[in-house]
Amino acid sequence: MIQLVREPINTPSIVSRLAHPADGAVVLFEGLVRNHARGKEVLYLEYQAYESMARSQMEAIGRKILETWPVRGLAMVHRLGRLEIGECSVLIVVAAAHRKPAFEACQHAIDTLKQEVPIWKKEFYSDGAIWIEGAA
Amino acid sequence: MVHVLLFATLADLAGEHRLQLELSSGTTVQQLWELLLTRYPQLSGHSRKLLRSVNGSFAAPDRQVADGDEVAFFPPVSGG
Repeated sequence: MIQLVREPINTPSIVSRLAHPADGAVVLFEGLVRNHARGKEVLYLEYQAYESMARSQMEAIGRKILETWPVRGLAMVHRLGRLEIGECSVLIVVAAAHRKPAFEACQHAIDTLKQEVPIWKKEFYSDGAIWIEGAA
Repeated sequence: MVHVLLFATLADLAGEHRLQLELSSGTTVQQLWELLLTRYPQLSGHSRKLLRSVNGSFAAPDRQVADGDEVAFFPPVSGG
């Protein structure tokens, strides 16, 4: 399940939709909006995406994971638009028979998403805002 | 006609997110970027860390652009 959404991410609902009796492990990662960055207080964030490419890149990451690890179910959801402190910006859920591939696939999914999926975050401070650039 | 998209800082600096350009055949992604720099010189500081895509896939600077292509330029991604 690959989604770009503008409403809050409902993690329990996504986890329960993915659940299957064959699973012995579910690993999930939630990225949260933190109240500080670069030594400054962050008031809120905005995420922008090149949506069609972001979706196809996320689908490619998902296919690669299902080919590489013995995992059964995968969800990758990224939220766009304005997010407040403490809200969930990205959710990765991996369901598998065993925990080890689930942990590894989950880590690979978030690490690769942060390098290859065209989404950008803008941090808003009390004295301005800047677009954050990843490490290319 | 080629559809050009800019994102994040690049869109803010140019004041444009989407534009359409008529290009001569054989124009490369790099030549298209240089054309954009003549129109938006304020983008020039971003040439070094620039990412490029054609029709939704990452593309090299020497990739030739064809009529109807969607070409995007953007900074290193920072989602998550």
